[in-house]
Amino acid sequence: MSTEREMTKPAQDAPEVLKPGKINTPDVDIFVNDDEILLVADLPGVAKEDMSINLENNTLTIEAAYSASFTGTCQRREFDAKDYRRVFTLPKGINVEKTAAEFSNGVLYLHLPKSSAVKPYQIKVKSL
Amino acid sequence: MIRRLNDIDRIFGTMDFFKNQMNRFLEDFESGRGNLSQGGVWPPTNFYDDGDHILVYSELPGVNEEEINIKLHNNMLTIKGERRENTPEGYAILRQERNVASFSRSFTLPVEIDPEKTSASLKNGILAVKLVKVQTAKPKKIVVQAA
Repeated sequence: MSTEREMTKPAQDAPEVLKPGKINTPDVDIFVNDDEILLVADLPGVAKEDMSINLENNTLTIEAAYSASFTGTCQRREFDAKDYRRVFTLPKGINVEKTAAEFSNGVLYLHLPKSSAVKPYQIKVKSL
Repeated sequence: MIRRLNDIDRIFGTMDFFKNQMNRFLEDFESGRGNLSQGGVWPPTNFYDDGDHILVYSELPGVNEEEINIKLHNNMLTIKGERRENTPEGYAILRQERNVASFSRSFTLPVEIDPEKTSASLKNGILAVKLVKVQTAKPKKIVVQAA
């Protein structure tokens, strides 16, 4: 019911953990409709095999090892070849078994379906 | 006395907090990421030199190869393109951090390039442009002879 509201809480009290330092934090978009939450993350330089997505006790952890390699000496650097990690706390009512993930062109699409208990239910009005 | 120690602890705790925030800000700044890059410099691009080539790498996640336009003109390299509309139909937006639609960056190259031999590839969201230096721009080894 309050799925949307829980995820849009301001950053201060959101339980999301950002780890600074030796790790890249991927940029994400989060979308929602009646059926699912869709998380889209930019993970350039990562191969599909080197990605791990863990869902445990409402905690979603996205980790990915950087595998792109570069030759020669660096003359100008704007991005680093660092592994990615980002942790989210999911609202209640996610159907964990039906979670699906796609990966293309360095972008991860993670579909988190809502369980039927939290889906909105339309009540039809019958005319008498 | 114990209370005073607690106070000191708290002050240091606060200082630590600000130090961490500052470090994070500087890291974002150095890597060209974070708030400073919002709508600004995109894609982040690295340059490598291996003697014979200049290798240009750009992070372009979610961009298809047909949407990238690379031009080389008078030692000016331009990478242009578009990232497709990424809000899926029928969804509400809860968080949007990846909001680049079209991009364009130009770089002046330090050496002369043979435009005929230039090649580019895209893998896992990283664009690699291989520029071949002209013969005169390549490094030459000078052999020292004993007199």
